[in-house]
Amino acid sequence: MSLYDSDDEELVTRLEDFEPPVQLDTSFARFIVIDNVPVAPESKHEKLKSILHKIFVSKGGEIVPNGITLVLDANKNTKGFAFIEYTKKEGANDAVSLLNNYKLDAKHTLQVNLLDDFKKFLNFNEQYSAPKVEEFVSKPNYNEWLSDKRALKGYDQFVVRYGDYTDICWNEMSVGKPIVEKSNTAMTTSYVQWSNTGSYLVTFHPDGVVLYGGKQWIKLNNFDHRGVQLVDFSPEDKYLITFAPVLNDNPKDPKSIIVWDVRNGKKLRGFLAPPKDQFTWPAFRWSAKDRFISRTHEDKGINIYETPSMKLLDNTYLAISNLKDYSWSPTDLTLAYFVPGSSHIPSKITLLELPSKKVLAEKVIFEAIDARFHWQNEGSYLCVKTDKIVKTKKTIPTTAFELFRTHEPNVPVESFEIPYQIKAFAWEPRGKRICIIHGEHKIAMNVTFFEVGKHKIEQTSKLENRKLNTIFWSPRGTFILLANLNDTGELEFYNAADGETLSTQEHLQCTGIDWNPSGRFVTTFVSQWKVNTDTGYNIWSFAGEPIYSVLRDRFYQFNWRPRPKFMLSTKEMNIIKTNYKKYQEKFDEMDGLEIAESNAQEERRLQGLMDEFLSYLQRGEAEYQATAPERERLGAYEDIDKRDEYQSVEIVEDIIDIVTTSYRR
Amino acid sequence: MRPISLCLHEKPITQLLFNREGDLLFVAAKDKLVSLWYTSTGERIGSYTCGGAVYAMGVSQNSQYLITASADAKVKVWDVQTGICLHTENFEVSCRSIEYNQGESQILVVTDQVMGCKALIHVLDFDQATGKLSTNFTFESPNCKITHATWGPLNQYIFSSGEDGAIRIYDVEKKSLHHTFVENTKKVNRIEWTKHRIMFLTCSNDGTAKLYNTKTLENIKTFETGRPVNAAGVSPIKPHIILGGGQSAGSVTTSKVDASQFKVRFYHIVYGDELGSLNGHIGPVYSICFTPDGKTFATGGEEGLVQINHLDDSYFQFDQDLVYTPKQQLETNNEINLIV
Repeated sequence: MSLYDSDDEELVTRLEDFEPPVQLDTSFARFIVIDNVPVAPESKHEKLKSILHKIFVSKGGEIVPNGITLVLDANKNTKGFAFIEYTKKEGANDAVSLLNNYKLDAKHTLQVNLLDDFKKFLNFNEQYSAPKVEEFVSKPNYNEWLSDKRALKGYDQFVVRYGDYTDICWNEMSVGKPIVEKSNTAMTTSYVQWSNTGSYLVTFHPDGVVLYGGKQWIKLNNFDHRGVQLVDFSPEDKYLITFAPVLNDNPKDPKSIIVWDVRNGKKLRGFLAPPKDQFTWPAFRWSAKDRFISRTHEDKGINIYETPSMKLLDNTYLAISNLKDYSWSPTDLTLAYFVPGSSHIPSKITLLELPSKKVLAEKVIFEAIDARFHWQNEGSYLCVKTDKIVKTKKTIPTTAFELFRTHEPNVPVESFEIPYQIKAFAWEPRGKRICIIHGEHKIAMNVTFFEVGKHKIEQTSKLENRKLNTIFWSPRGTFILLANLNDTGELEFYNAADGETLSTQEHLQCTGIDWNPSGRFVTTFVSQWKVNTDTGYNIWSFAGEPIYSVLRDRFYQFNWRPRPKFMLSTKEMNIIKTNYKKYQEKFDEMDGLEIAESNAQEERRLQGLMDEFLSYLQRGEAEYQATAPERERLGAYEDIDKRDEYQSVEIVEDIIDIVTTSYRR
Repeated sequence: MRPISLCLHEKPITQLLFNREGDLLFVAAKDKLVSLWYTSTGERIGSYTCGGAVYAMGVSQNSQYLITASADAKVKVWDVQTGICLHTENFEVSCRSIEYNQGESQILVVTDQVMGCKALIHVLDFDQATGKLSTNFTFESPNCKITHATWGPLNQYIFSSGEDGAIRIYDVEKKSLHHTFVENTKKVNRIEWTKHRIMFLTCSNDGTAKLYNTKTLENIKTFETGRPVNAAGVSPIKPHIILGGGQSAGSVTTSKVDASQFKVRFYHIVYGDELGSLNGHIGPVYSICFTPDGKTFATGGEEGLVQINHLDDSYFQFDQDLVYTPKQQLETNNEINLIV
């Protein structure tokens, strides 16, 4: 009896008694392959393994003991890649998503992939199928509006929102009222915003934001971000940040704040939003030239991300312990930050250049607990207002400032004190003046102007006892509009260079002010968001002369279209300035012709309207006359008619002749 | 221009009316009085006392009879000269609007939509000899408050404006609703005719006044004011209209206001531009009326003040007159009925 003969049945049953065969895990779901591992000799293998272990455990989780395999070549040097086996396949997935493109050091950026992916790629279709060439769609010229003949004459565009309408209008002075270029209804669900260079108009929709631009106002790009509420453009409009409140945002794929590339519409990175009570907008601050975005990392430092990769600069946050606040220069890659001190460590303001992290300037201030940064718009000056610990109740509250002359060599710093508690502060754009509003009572505020001289800061002029609360410098400097916003709406137009008031006007209950980018006009408007009645806008010249005013029901917002930066060099601009008179004559002549033509056109239009109206009138009147007998029958006498006319009959007695006849008997 | 202020009424003015010759001004107000004044001097002649706030009135062509519609649900016929009430007609609810037809054979009365009753337009026969009224018929209710109703040309139609922003046109002979159209988003306060009823103007709370061609119902022009329009006056000789309005009474005290809100504004009827404005009222303006010769106009407002403004010579010279004579060559269209 052989083994196979006897007990066949038993054998069979015993087979069935066995547990089902173990499924062999032929997938390599828990394995990852790492490329660009440094080539190292045998002596360094352990060190390399421990470094890799530390990195990959921190992001992926547990690794199987001895799970790191360094692949060696004939000389026992690492070939440049390695395998890691995780205990769980989620670990492998996490490692791939979080550590791919991880910079180990300057020369080695690790590439991490799932081993399973290789199988997928091996089975790749070898057949070559030529990719479809998409039709070339040329993108419109976003700045085409600047070559429109109206822009060449110096008129600007603006957008107004009222009721359901969004109108884009030209501010044509010769016609005396806004010319609507494009009027849309239901273009946006909440508000519209121009981008920083005026190239795009952002509109909001429930699914995301849409950018409009170009001469025809076509949809350029849409960015899908469900529930988006706020947007922020980078200073040169290359990137866009959108925010939507998201409940239970996933930290692995955050959808609250998203950074986009504007021109190709791609999402660059998502970020988690800070909790509601700490939320401010813009959530990220842009550096100049669209290089970096940043936000604070608690009070330990600043997270600085590079564009377009959206990776942390140097892979870590900029560590500044006890950081209170910081600010970017508007024109240079300079960061200014403030660290408050304590009783034995003085507080300090530091200017740092990025990405080199070189300290440009430092100023120690004693007893400061908070600071506010005010940059002049060309980055030439930085004024930091510091709040000190109040030890005793001083009779005159003073405000201390540190002035950094950032564009001068070695960044000299000066301190100056102003013996008032300030309510508002503003630098003159492109200039050297500062305007400050201070005072005790709302109805008796004072306005003081300072000028930054070569060696010290001097007070140039002062306006007293005014009802003003906000400062609006003209974007070209020199002229300024001081206003009493959200209150009685008093407006004072002032020339800071001459130190004289140009005019005082009033726009009752005005809620907002917007200067035209050329500085020639300024608009004051009353928005339905704050006030219910008399919503609309008024346009004034820079000297306070009223140009026109428009009242609109449910008026929401008014924004001038920003102009992009100057493209001419200073030399070219100087040439134009010297030849100005010649140009002026030519333009005056052209203007004269234009005005005559537009006047003639207007006259024709008005005549046309009048003719049309008169034809209605005359037709109606003809019918009226035709139905006169009917009216007679009804007894209707609406017009003063014949019954009212009367003839007065006067009886005049006059002796015509006296005839004397004698009779003979 | 010299304005004459008439201070008598202590409650809001509801309607102003000049008689056919323009020498008498009737003022109706919510203090139950209708007062009578000489237009040229502003001298008061007398008052008629009604039982409730007087919402509307009409005066006959020979200035003999005055009809009033008041909140006490009564329509009264008065003898203008003596002030005696000749006839009273009772209704179920307060009467909002009243008007003589052309020829004064009938009057229309609009009753309010309150207390479970629906708004109705009643047509009553008027006896010119005695001044007595007798009911004729009532139109079917549009089930919406009617703010104003007026007779159309040749008494063929009655035009009414409603709270829902709709204009309803009723055919008098057929005694039914002829046509409805809605072009305003908010309540229409009044319908004002131009001379000879060739065109009409609707005043609405949405801040617009729209001009329509009576025959074709085509919207010729829209005037935007930015404030609710309560009343309009159309000049019979010049291409001007006056629009008056302002904030509603309820919201006046709850928000910051300025006297300039209650300006009465002049607009050019053809070009649509605002020509000028007059201050004078410290509350919303409810009624504006021109004399038939177009040389004087009166405005009345919430505060009970009436201003009579006699226009200066310079007013008549600055703009062309509207020419109300038919061109001989024009072919007259034989259809007098409304084209829908």
